[in-house]
Amino acid sequence: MAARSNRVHGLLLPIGERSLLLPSALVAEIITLADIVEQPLAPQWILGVINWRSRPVTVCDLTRLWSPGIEINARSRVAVFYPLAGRGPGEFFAILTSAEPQPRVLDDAAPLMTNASNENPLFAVTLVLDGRPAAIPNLATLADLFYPAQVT
Amino acid sequence: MRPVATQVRHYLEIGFAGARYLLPNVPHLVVEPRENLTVRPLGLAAAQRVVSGVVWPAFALDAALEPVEEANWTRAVFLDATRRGVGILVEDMRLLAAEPLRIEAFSPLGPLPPGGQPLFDAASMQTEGLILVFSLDGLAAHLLYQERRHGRAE
Repeated sequence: MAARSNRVHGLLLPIGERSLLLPSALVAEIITLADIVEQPLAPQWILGVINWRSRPVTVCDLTRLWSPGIEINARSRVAVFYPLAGRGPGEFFAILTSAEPQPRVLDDAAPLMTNASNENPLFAVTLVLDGRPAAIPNLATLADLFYPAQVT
Repeated sequence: MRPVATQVRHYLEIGFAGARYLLPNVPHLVVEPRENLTVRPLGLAAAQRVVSGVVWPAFALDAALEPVEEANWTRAVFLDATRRGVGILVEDMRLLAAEPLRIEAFSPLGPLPPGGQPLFDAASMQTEGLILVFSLDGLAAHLLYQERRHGRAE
């Protein structure tokens, strides 16, 4: 039983050359991308707005912050996230992924131990999983990006 | 996200540059057909209306909401902006009753646009597609910003 208490259910979201590793509990649903409405004057990392369960949800391509962005094709998916801490109950947001996110169970924290350098403020930790670069997102930095007017 | 609590009974569905948006139809909106406007670019305002000697500029916008000098507009919708009207030129429009629409509050992510106010504050979630609803204050702020950028019509 003690071993089970250390188990973390995560999700690997492929975004371009790397994957985001985060707790599964942050993600409400994985969907395919369809019928996205462009939002004029939005920053480049916002793809547009979708109708998700009768709610308007903004879809972001975070890789546009450091690259040309993810090529949208049949493998693309959208991960709809629950609202960030401190936000309203309806403030879902979504992140474009380049392929189907994969569940990942971590039995201990060893894979997260890393000496990899991290110069991207969006990442709390960068690491290598299965030989591929991955990162744990810094949710506080993500909140600052999404809601800059609320930064004090 | 909860439905928008509002006294708005109608929305104007407007179309320009291949996109469609909704505007809350409030009493201080003024819709003018093209024949009632002076079509003369001043700065990048494609048309104007003179009210009590004061010029109300109206802008034709492209899909990125940047002013364009000419477009296939048929009407202007003037907003009550800081006691002086500023307008948007639209290709077509129709009045929609609010009741059958499912209007949901929407908070755009990221920094504010150059006008300093959010451009959208809701979205209509219809089966035929999502339509963004302009914030009247946000749209007015954007149009006034364009006027400051491109020269005031005097």
